[in-house]
Amino acid sequence: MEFAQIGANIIKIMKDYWKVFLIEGVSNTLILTCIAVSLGAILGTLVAIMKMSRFRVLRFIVTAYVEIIRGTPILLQLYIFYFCLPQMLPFLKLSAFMWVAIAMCVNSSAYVSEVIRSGIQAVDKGQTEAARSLGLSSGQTMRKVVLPQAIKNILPALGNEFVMILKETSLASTFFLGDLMTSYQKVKGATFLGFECLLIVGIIYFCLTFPLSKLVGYFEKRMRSDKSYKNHHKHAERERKLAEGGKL
Amino acid sequence: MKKLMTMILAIVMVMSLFAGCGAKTDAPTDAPNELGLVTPGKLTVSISPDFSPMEFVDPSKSGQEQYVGFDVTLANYIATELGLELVIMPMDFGACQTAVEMGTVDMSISGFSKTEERAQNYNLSDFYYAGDNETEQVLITMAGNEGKYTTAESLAGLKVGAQAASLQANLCTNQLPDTELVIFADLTTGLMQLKNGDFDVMAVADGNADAIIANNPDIIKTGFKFTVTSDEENNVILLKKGNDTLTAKVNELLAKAYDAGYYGEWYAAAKELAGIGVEVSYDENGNPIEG
Repeated sequence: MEFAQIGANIIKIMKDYWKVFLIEGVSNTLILTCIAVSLGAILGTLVAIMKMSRFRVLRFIVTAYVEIIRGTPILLQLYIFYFCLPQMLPFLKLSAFMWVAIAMCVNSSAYVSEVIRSGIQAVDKGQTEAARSLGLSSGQTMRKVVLPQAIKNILPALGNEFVMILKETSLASTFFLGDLMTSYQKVKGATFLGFECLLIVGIIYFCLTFPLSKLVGYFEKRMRSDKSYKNHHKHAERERKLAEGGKL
Repeated sequence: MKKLMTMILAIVMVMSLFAGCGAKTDAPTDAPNELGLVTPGKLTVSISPDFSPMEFVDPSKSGQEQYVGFDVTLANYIATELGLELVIMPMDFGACQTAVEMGTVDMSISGFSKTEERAQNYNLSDFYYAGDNETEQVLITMAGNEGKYTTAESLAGLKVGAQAASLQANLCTNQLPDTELVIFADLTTGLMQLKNGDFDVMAVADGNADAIIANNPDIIKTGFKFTVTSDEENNVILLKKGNDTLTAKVNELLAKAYDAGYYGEWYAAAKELAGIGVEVSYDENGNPIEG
């Protein structure tokens, strides 16, 4: 393979097809990702709440849902949603794009629910016990004590989920839904220059995911060094010194 | 006991999810739907638009307009003749067949060759003729190998690439028994593998070879041609098993197109769109002759 030739070919392809990649591909990928993540987060929260409920039947059903979704490949789920659901629910007149977006969102909801559940359960049990013994109701304990701490665990992981879904939307190209990987399919089909198209799409994907993961990293750092955490340490230091009997 | 009930409930729920799948309910319609269409008034066709010049995408257009090529012209013709609105559903080649089986689309026109297995699971239309795209099956190789692989003997011991479940793969197995067959998923991937040296020559239809060479100057035809029988050289349309009314209608229209001589025209137009030079011959003074 001649690399000089590849460079020339990439320029040639971009001149003819830049719209297919940069406008159609990028916008569809972002739209699909946004729908999947936002609906997935809402559905995922509901699932997480149900999973922590007192009713065993509900807990069992939700566990089965999460395990089935997480235990099967996303490509298979896309096929099933694309082929079966429109026939099972003929009154729902949704486009192919929406069916695949829903499949993505169901898939992401299973992962998000686990992120939320583990984030909540990672908060030390002593916190709940202390809050309850101080007379807070279980709802108040959740809202005022557990959730503010759990958010710190949950948000960065949710950001990572966003990046993951963005990459997984590439599977939508199986049905030519206009995402970036579809742009690749279309242009390579017209030009038979597969490697060059792959390079272009790869660079665009990276340009999308890299700033996103940097942003997630930034928020993660902010959360870790947030005020209450610092104050907590200062406070502990002060107490220790006091206990030692020294002056401040 | 409670546990058992929960289990049963969960199983019933999962079963109901799949039960709906198999039983394709005939959508209630007001209009008579004697053709058994998926959506009354519309002809839905699945194609895999990564197969220039048979079906590909014209990036200067958008929406339904962007799908062009021989098979799309044919789909348009069938829809117009039946008085239906054409809806093209693009998807990859494997999904095209599943879509027909599942009843997501009425038919798939995507350069299918007739095979025993397909005939068992689908209603196949009569043949349609896409110029030299299928009648000529050739081998391509890297430039620099000119004149090396012109006969079956010269190919002995070499590796030959062909698309999975394609006519070319069958031809290689039957006509080049001394070679090692390497299967690839789609033409572009195969081309990358050829450039990478995974195999020495690659079997493709002549029309595809022209489209490949138009954009890849480092690829040439070897000069070897497969012997193609009349059963293999043409394409068929895939329809749902048992949908005989529509199949009969389609066959009628295919015969009509053949008699009217549309196929040659469509193929030339598709080739021109794909950027494959329309064949130009020269007279003794060096002037190009049209045709």
